[in-house]
Amino acid sequence: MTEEQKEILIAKMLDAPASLSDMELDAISDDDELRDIYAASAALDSAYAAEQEFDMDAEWKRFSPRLHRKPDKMRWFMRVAAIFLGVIFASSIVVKIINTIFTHAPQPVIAKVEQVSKAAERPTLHMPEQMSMTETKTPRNHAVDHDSKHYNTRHIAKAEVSMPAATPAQAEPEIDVDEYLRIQQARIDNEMALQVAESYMEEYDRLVPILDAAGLYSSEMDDEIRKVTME
Amino acid sequence: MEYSAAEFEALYIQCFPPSMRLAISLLHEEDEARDVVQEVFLKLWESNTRFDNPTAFLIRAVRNACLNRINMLDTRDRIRRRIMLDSPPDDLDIDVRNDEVMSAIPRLLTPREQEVVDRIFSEGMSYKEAAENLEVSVAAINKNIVSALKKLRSHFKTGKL
Repeated sequence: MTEEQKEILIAKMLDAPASLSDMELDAISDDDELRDIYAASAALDSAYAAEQEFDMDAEWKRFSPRLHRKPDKMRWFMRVAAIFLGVIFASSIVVKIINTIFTHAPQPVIAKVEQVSKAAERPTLHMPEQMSMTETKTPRNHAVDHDSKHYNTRHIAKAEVSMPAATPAQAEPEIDVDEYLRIQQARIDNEMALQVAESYMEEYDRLVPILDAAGLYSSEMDDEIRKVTME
Repeated sequence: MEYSAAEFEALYIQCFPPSMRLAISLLHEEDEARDVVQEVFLKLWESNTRFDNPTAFLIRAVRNACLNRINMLDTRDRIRRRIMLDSPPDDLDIDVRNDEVMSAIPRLLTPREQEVVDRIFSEGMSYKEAAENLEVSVAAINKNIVSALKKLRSHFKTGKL
């Protein structure tokens, strides 16, 4: 490349850089002298730019409106706290609704079967009043009443059926859903156990008069029967 | 701990000029340099962080932001904007280099070369405008510019400029 060509290229590089072709750009990059002259021009440009003074009042007025974008740390914290409290509040409402629905459901009969000592009286069925009223005329109870003198020393399982007193739902202690479900399952199990016990009792009550009439009844047999039917 | 508005204004007034000079030195475009500097100040404001040496932090952040922008430019854009093709030196070296260049101009260049350099690089004139301003030919402008740049190149061994 001649000196004249270099001067033309330098003129183009400094005065009209946008018009440089790819080949001319490559020529500048590949020629050490042109590259150094370009570096000198860039250094001159930087040096003059660094001499610039600024009107700081105008610069601050130009910049300060952008500062309104500063995030408020406290507002952010409050927002997170509000979301957290909202979730807790919503959860408590859901739990309360579920609890209320289950609490107001019809209360099942609470049955309880318990063993009594040998000194206990003949097996009796303890029931709440309204249940006793409906069951006093059953054959089993007739037999029990009729033959009570024969069996007052037997020790057998004592079935007790109790109906919980009708109390307002608000008076019941608050329990969580899992505990409530466990209690309900226990009630169902007790009810089933009571039904089985009652069926055994009916069979037993029907069998005893027959054996007694046939002269086959004895207290030892009563013990054996009780073992088979109640254990 | 964060800056109050008054403290931040004081910091801006103190640190904007050196930050802006560095950005212009690297990007060679005032509007883009101002945009970079303002973005860096905004990040500092939004970080709610107080630095022991905020000037050093700002200068370093401005330099990195400028280099990121330069890296996105191709060679044509760099030459068009007269940006260094090689990696720029460190911050301190830029200031030293700028001072050396400015002090070398009156020592090394003739009065005519100084006038031409001043019109082209300080005033931002084109060759034609400079020629009209100085009442010389465009060829004379180019001759003086080439002569001035070669002198500076020889003096600083321009590969390290």
